Amino acid sequence: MKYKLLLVLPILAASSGFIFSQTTSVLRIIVLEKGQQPITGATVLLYEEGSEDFSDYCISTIDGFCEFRSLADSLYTIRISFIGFKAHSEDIKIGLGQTKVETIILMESTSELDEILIVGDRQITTGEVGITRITSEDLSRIPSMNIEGDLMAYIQTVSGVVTVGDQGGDLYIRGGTPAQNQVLIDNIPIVKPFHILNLFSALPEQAVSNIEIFAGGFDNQYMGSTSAVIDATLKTGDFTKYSSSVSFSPYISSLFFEGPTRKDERSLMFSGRVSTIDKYSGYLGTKEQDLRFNDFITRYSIQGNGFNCNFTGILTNDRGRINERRENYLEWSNTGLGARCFGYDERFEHPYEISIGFSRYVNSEGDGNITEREAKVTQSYMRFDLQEYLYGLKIDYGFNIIAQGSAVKIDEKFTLLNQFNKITPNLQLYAKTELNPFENIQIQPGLSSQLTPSHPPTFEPRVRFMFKPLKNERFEVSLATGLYNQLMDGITDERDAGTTFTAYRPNDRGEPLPSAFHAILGVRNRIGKNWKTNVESYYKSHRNIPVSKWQPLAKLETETTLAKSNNYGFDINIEYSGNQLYLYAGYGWSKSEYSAESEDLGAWVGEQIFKYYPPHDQRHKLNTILSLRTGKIETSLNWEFGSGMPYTQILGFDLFLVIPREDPTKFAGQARTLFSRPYSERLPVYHRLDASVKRSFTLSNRLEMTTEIGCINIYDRRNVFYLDLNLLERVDQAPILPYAGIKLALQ
Amino acid sequence: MKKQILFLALVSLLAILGCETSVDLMDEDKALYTVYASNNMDDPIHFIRVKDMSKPLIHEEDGVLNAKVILNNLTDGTFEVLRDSIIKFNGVKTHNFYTANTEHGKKYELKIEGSDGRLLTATATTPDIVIAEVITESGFCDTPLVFRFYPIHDVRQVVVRFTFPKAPGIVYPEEVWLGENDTLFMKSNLLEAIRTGFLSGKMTCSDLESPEVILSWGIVGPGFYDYTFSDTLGIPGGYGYFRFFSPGSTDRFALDLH
Repeated sequence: MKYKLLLVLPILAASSGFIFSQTTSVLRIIVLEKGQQPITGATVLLYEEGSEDFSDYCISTIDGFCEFRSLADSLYTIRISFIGFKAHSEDIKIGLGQTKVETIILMESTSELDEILIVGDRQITTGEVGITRITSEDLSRIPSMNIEGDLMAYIQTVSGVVTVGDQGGDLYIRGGTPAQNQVLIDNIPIVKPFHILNLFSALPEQAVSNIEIFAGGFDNQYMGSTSAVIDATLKTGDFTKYSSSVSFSPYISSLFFEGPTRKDERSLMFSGRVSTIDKYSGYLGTKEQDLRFNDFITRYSIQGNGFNCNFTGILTNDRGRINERRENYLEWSNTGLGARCFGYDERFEHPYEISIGFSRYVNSEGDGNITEREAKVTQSYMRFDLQEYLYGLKIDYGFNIIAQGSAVKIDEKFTLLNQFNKITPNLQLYAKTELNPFENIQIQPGLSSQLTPSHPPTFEPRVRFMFKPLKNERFEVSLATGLYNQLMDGITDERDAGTTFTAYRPNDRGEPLPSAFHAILGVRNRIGKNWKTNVESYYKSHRNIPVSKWQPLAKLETETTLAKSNNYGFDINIEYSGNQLYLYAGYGWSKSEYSAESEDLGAWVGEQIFKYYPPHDQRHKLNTILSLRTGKIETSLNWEFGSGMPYTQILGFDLFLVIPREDPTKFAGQARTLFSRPYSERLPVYHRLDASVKRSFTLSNRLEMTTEIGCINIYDRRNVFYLDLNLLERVDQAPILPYAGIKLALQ
Repeated sequence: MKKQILFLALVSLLAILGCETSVDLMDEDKALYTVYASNNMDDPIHFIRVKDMSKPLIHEEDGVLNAKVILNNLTDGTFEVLRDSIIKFNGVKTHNFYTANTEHGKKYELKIEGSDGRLLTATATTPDIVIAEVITESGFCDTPLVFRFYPIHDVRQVVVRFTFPKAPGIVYPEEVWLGENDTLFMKSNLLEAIRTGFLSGKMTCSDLESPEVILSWGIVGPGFYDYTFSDTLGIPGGYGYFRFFSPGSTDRFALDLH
């Protein structure tokens, strides 16, 4: 019965969006750039005839879509603005009961900004608490050992985002672990699109259109993670002309291509990158690094009449050793295939979105010849996002049918993890709406639930609240809170930062589901045309987190136990965005503590453990960015400072004897390392200055060359990465890393 | 004012850039020594393995333990500086101090004095010479058995093992026993006691009808049992075991359970 329902639900739900029922006038705007790719985040203002104040507004979505409803038979004016584009104004006549779709193409601005063009960001923002929106321009400002920016280099400048070193590809967001985060690329769930070198991901600047980081308090549309969501939209290939580029640096080489396969209707975007750091790192006077990675992403886009569809493919591979002296190879790969269609045809009363796809993640660990541990996650999904109006309220709702598979080959560190291969069906349902009880107050309540055979349905109410006390768009107070559940959890050995191996498993062991409560309060303020400040405080409480049970001995079997974590802190960010100058400073204070859910978290020598600060508990973090554009030269500086994170000292080394059975005169005993109290010490502070200078040269009408020189860790700070308990040595982060890059772009 | 701000900024920057980057891998304040000694009082020589916890195995090849190991007899007020017998296993030298002077019923303190000032002490009391008697040798299957060990200060000083033909070894947990003065009683009947042992549920009354029962025991010093399942047996700050035991057993005897 349950499975029949799964089949019927999408048909019923989808059909409601297709029912033609013309009762109100509707204006749908599609905002595109010259190459007919959608513009995300453009401000669209609607003016009634003869009025100087706008009567309504909307922000274009990732499809460039914007909709006004309940319009009269009248003449309207729309004004559209977005950074880097000329403001657009157009009169539109709408008839009674008509649904009209208008496609607007914004032209790039090369001169001074227009009077309604808002510098650096869109004019109207609502409910942004906990959300960081990133454009490809933001990515380009951060030096990243390559000529183009990258999400991974950028995201580490965001307050509340912590990495435990410069390798491993793991992100901790406001106390949440990588296994509690969710990454979506064109709606495809990709478990770990971050490369082993923490400056690169599968999301380079030129392949990305828009990225949103939800550090907490995210709405009901996102389900299946208890900490954070990174939602990335890839760039749509140009529908009108071809362009391509190649770039080289000692660390990575890339190839990019975009262009129409059928002009104005179909386009292709491809980005491929291959690391060369293992080949050339030694030539620059720096230590050789045994790291290899690559990523290939492609997007095939169809722009139809009243719809657009995107077909996305992603492949990433990583392999390497975090510590060159240790024969411990980490590998992971992501494969993703997905299709996403967005329909807005005037014959349909509401827009709709359908996504379908598959992803696979494999991570393993071994000595280079033999794979000692391996874990896989497969996810097949079919997702519907729909819209309906009930009693004047806009209801966004949808459902996602997922088959999550996980396979783990037996691993000696996790005795509770037997070798298994399981597929678990899940159904995720959500609905959310928007209330405006007063002119300056907006409330977005929502409810979602996840259904799985092993647990009762989850209950996840969430709400986002916005208050504009000055009744303008410059000052906003926001609150986001809610409950979150996760059906799949991941376990890693936190004691060993030299491995990132994570075993993912469905929660079907009779244990309660991992859950979380989030509460975020934020105040955003825009001062003048160029300044923006943002202050946020947050509290995230996670329950039922599976963690390795602490034992005093290294290299010994470890059970898992359940922990809860309390994470709280605040961020203060200030940003200046001018035509030539960009400045950013962000400070974050945070505290994260794990404690036993019921029993204890293990024991160290002579003492049980009930709480500890996890290795990602970083109290202070400061980031500053300076980016200056003078003519064709762009200079960027990024300075990061972080207080030391916890680590565990070694209590001593032992030769264990089973006495009296083992006579000390006849047996050596078993060699073993004893831990001290877990995470009782802190590493020294971390700080690093990165710099880059980029210049572009126009070689011909169609050929442009860009060169960049830069340096990571410019003053060669010896930042500690971690202490390798297997080799009993300190492992440092990257020393000074100079680089140069060249890019040739053919238009 | 501007100069002062610049100066302050420069000093702050230099302070940050020059700040400490060293890390203490070892918890050296806590890393003392591991001790392994579980000696049979019947042996003529008792060995005590001592290892410096701060030394990785790779550094044990020099064979130097910069420490003096002393065995204090707290009962008599005498002491002995123990001699080391260095035994090499695959290139790793181990330090096995030895003594031939331990006696029954005495309290000993092992003191390890490192040349760097580190000090570890461990105490243990050797068991008395104990006489054991099987008082109940016949009865029914549900007859509680009575044994007598004396002198015993604490019921937990005794670990008893029966050996049956069909069950090579059964250790009774201490919960089985009731102590009264120097006599041990079984709380319950024999069969029930066995069922709480390692072979629970596998034996019946008829299995106990055997003339080949052997009772064996180990006697440990007072206070020993508190640490039996601890890795830090009476060694504050250290790790391992420092203890003595005295084994014994009866001849084969029959339990007439009819």
